[in-house]
Amino acid sequence: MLFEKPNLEQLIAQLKEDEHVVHWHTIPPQEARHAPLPNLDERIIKAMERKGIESLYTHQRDAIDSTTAGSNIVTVTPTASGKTLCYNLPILQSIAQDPESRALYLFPTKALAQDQKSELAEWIEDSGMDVNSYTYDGDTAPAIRQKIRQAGHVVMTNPDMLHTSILPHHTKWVSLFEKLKYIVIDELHMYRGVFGSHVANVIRRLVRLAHYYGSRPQFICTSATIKNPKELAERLTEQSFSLINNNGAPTGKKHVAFYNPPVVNKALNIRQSASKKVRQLARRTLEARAQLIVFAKSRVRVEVIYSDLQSMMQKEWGPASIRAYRGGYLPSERRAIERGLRNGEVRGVVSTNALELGMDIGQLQVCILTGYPGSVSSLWQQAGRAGRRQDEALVIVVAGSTPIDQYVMNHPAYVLDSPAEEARIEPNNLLILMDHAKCAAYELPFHVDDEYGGVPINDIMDYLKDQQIVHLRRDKWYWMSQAFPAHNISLRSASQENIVIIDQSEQGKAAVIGEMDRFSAMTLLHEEAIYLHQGEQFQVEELDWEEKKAYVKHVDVEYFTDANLNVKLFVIEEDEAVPRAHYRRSFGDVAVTIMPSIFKKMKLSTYENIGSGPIHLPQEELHTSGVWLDFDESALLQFGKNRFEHMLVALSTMLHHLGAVMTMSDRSDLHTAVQIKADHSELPAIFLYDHYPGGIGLSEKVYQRMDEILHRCLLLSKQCPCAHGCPSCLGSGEHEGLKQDVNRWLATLIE
Amino acid sequence: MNFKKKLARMKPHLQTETAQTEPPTNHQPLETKQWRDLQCSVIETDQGTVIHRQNTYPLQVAERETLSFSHVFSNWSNLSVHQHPLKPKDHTEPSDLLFLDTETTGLSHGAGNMIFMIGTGRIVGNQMVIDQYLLPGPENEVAFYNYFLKQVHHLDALVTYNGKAFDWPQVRMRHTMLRHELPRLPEFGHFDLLHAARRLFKHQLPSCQLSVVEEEILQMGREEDTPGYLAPMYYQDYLQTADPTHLAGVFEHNEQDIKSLFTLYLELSDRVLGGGKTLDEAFEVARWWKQQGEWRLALHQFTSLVDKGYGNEAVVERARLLRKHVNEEESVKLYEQVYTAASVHKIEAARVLSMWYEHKKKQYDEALRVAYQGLLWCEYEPAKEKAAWEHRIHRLKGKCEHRHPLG
Repeated sequence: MLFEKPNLEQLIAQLKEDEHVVHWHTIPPQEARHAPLPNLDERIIKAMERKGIESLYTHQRDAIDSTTAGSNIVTVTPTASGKTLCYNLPILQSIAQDPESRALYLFPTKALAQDQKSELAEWIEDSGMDVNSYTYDGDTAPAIRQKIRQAGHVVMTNPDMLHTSILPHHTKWVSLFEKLKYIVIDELHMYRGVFGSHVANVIRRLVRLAHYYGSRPQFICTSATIKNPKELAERLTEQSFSLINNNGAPTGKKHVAFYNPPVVNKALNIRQSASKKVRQLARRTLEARAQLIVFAKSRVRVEVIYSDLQSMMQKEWGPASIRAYRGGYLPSERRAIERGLRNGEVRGVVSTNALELGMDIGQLQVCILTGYPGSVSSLWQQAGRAGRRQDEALVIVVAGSTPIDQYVMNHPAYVLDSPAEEARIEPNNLLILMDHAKCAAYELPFHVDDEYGGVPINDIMDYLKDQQIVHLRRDKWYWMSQAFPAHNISLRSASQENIVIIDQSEQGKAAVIGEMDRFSAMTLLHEEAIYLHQGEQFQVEELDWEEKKAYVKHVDVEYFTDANLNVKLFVIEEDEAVPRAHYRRSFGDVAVTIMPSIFKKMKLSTYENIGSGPIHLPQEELHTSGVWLDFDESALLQFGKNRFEHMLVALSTMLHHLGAVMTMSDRSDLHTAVQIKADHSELPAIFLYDHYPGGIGLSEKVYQRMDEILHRCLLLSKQCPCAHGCPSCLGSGEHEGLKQDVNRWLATLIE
Repeated sequence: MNFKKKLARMKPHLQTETAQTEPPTNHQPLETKQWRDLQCSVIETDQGTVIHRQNTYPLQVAERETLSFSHVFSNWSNLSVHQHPLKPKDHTEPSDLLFLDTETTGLSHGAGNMIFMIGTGRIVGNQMVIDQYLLPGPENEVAFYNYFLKQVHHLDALVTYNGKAFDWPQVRMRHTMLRHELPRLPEFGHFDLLHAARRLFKHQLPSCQLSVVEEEILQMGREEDTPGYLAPMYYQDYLQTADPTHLAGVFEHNEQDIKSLFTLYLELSDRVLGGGKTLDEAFEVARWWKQQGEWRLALHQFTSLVDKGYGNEAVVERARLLRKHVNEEESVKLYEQVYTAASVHKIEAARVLSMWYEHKKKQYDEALRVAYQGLLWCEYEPAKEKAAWEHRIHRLKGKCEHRHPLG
């Protein structure tokens, strides 16, 4: 029929011919690779028979063999490859051999623990074994807590619960600690940055207590694809690991299309917006009757794309057929969306990276990424949402105009061939280390010869002694304070408390609709900001910084808001430096003062600036680690002060983008600043610093790989088709000849 | 970079716990003389040092004219009740009671919180013997608990104030930390006077803190008492300076708490046994009996409260007991009374009456009339309650029509 809409197969064929698809990559299907069942308790074998499992995948068998041999293991396999068997089988086996044996499962979120609990419950039921497995989190009823502590063979929890509830009250968990045989860390790759650094310390405390109670637990970790899973596991636990990466699970054929929207203004190199293109592609997908997920990087983007798709689709499919999904929603809202995806009522979801986590939302055929998600690992994680089972699947990466997106479009090999990024943690970040050293001292006195995180304990305790928190008696440091340290320490964010968002549109019916961390709130919840929630606009009427509450009211306006930050920066101490021909590269401690200054109102349809206003919030001070480049005066003299200042900003923009990519961090974790005459050197300087007190190892990595990053900057700028610089490379294109100057300058920096 | 230097630099970012007093000085060896001034002995054991203070007072300090331990114990055993949280076990003597109160380094329940003082009180002849055990420093915990457990032989009749939720769990927690170096904890039984005080006095007192109960119920004031919440700070001061005089107030406070427990146990027992000093108390005592399953005692007391005109609360309680244990018809009379009165229990009364007319009397018209009234009263009740009434009305309508078929 003439007007029949194409199905998925036809859509794939059409897209292959599309001139804007700059690269087409097909991942061939992989046949399953099996290994025979190992020696297991007959009850477990029986459960496998019931489930119709006759053999294991190669990686599952290796995982079990290594674990049985006593190694700590980390498995790296794609989603839906049966990774849970890698830990459930050895653990059931150990309980079959010794009913006193205990295991602790750590999941980054409560929801994941719940999912895994039902999975393990099936195994227990099919095997007929007498195994108690429980989730233990904030929702666990007090009545069964006692039973869990004493009789839970498998306790599934999250790092936060371990930190505030289990470890400080370890005497109630004696039967767990005494026989703790395995610690499972699922979704290992989630433990990076500040959160990962905190969790590494929680694990130090956990292992310390396990040793105190006489157990030497073994670790089983599972990770999505990252470059350094073994290293991450080893840093997180301070033990050595075997890597299991011989994935034997079958995969279906998968197409990855790199879509670069057409240039609409050649001189300025302005492309059609990615969001717009994504909406068109999403529509074609939905018309092809394929279930779809769209990823967008920011909450704002999610809400904008969502409301657009919804109005497009609701006639045909009903208003609930398209849903938005992101971190700030309340659990009940999230659950409803997940259910809808599973049972097919929901045809499409627009999501932030919140959905990255391994929740099994079922079989989606198409995945569209609005812009490159910032890291190769995230890309594959998100792409893994399509075709998790064995049929053909399509992933479309739609480029935005940022430098990194354009870089990826021009160098698809960078994404397709290069190994995924590294996950970095810095367990010895001073603040994080001190926080957890306190908790550890509370949990168990330290001996003067002990170390914590490789630091002699006396160095740490001397400081706490001065605050009269600990007391030295007969070679032991005793906690001697009324405080309960874990309560004041949050693992999740740099700031202590989240801002609660309260909708007071209807008088007398104020309701909490979400929450946000403090640093994000500075730019997204200031007074008069437009906050978007499920596609609805709210205006912030009052931000109560002291009480951590933002009061919002429903509005309907034609604009969104965008806040500016004022940053001042000083070098405190230089730890390392490398002199080069025209610049000096340094790494050390910096002090940063941050204050939001103004916000702009941007028109929704055109992104045009239609007004602005001041933001009144207290300034935040930050001592952290940073990398900086001091440039000698040659370039300044050559290009003139005015031009050179623009060049500095342009280079810092590129360094920021590529530095964030290199360190697998969010761009908001790594910040940049520029000074034409820096206080410490009186020379022009560019800074990149970790946006967390004390630093989390990002700028250190940038420092080490600066040569490579500068080289990539030059490539990015040279290969961008624009004339004078554009948002895709230098960040702006307002100055004629800027790009050529930057390229010339960069060439002198790279020897 | 040097760790300590870095630490100094990051100081503004480091969280500090609540600031406390003067900086520490070097500790000196235990000053036996200073301890002696506090009437304490310094006990040296293989495992460390323990401070022990013992004081003896005449039992009359705690007892009152007619209110003696032997009197109260015999009253309890004369009363034919199976159990009550204040009733001593059979064949126990007043001398079996162990009054206990602890002082801790903080109020949290976690592993970093220590007990630094355990005070106990016993009855020996006509004496009240107060023993206080002090931890002279955290390194002496093993010695402290070993010595304490050697001194007290049985813990099956502890008398505490909130000991069920606080003191005893703390003892157990510390014991778990040191379990390889300590004997097993003996079996323990408990009279928690906070629970009793809450039952009897929660409506008449602003709070049931021991100090409030002492003042309002026992009419015992304290002069120059060190408030309990300051005890952790005084202990810290003592640790910093090694000067035991910082603890003088804490010893006094703890001793006073234990003495009060003696008197309070007598007073609470007396009020329960005597049926309460006021009508409100009598009502609470009766409810307590009821909860203990002693329905006869409770019924007796509710009846006398009704006779004294205590009000519908007592009428309803009495009606409930009658309905459950004695005779439904009796209870219906009382429910009629509640039904016509302006009582919060009238919905319950309507329910009972409607059921009575429907099932026992087969007077469906009357049952329906009451049910309509019940539904009317339910306006502010949860939907579930309303639905139950609607269901009842529907059923009753059916029964009425069946009895008077149209035509």
